[in-house]
Amino acid sequence: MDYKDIIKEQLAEFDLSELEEVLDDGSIYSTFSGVSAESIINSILAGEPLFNTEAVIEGVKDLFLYEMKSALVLGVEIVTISIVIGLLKSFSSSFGEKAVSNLGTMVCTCLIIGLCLGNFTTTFNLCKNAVNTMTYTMQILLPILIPLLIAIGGVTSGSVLNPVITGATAAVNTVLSNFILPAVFISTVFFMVNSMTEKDYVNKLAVFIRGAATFLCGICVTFFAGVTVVQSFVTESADGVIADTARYSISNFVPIIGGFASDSVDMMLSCVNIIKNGVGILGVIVIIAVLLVPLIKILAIAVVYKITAIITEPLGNKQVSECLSQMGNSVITMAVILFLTSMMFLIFIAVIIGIGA
Amino acid sequence: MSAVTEWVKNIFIIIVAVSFIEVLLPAGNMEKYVKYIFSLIILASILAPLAKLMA
Repeated sequence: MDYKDIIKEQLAEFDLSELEEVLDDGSIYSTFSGVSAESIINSILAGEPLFNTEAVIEGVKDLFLYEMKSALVLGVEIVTISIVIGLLKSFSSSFGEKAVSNLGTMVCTCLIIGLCLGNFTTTFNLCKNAVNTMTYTMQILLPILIPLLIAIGGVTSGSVLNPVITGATAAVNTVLSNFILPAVFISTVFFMVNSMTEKDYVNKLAVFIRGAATFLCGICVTFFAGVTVVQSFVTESADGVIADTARYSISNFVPIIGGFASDSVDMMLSCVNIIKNGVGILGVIVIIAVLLVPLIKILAIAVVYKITAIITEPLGNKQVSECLSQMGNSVITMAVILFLTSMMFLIFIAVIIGIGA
Repeated sequence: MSAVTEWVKNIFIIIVAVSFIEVLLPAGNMEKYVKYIFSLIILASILAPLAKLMA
């Protein structure tokens, strides 16, 4: 019996349809849609690259340009309003009373804040959904990967890592959607309301809240990823002892056929290991695909905010320009938080792939 | 969570209202005192949760 047949036979037992569904929903321009666990394992065995790199880069570029175009509408609206504000300011002397033009400026600033707030709410929901989808992917992936991990002899690793990773995933999801992302939203609201007045009322407060949110996110990711990696180091050596003992006792205490038996056990284990790594790589690809679309959208929106801030600066409105620049920073903070979370999930999968390698 | 939403909403509304009233304020001797009192109001609204916490 060929080892490829063994792998194919065992792979047929798994139900990976849910995972592949998530991948199909989240992928960009069907770049990843042809990818399945079977195709990944086949290309690992054949020594081929997993997917077409040029097609992926092309897809990413197209998506970024498309998102830039759709976000540009907002930028054009804001620039138009800023031009009106500049006109109002230069006409202020001919109105006689300064209060009239000031009031006009304030109404225009309110309009800009309204536009930005609407757009920022969309970005916020996008980020929240992406985090939820990634958590969902992890929750599908773990019940598939952990039994495979136990099947290759990682009994201690499987039983220790499963609760640790499940707990960490759920905890990070809760902390992100209940504390960190709302905190970024609140700080952005403060930045916007701060741009209404000439004096700074809540600038420092907004900076503090955003800094605290970023710090909390960093701490969370470092803590959970660190705990998991250290756990895996300890359990891996414990499993090594168990596997070696089993192999030794089979080859020495079973008479005559013991040597053959222990060799075929080795072969079975490495076949299961290939399946585990194939499924793990599929998980990594799903998480990257789920992350990529929101991340590109958010970055495109951030670039548009920054460009609009650059354009409105020479028009003479310092507050609006400062507000837009800070909005851009907030959007980039969201992208960073999303990226850190996905990093943590990727570390979890990498730990499982790494055991038994 | 609802307490935090309430807090942010209050600060937002008070700052928007204060900035509109400041524009419409007639220029005169009392202007700077009124503005100072507005700053105190904003300070009070920022520190409002603290009072609730102490009680």
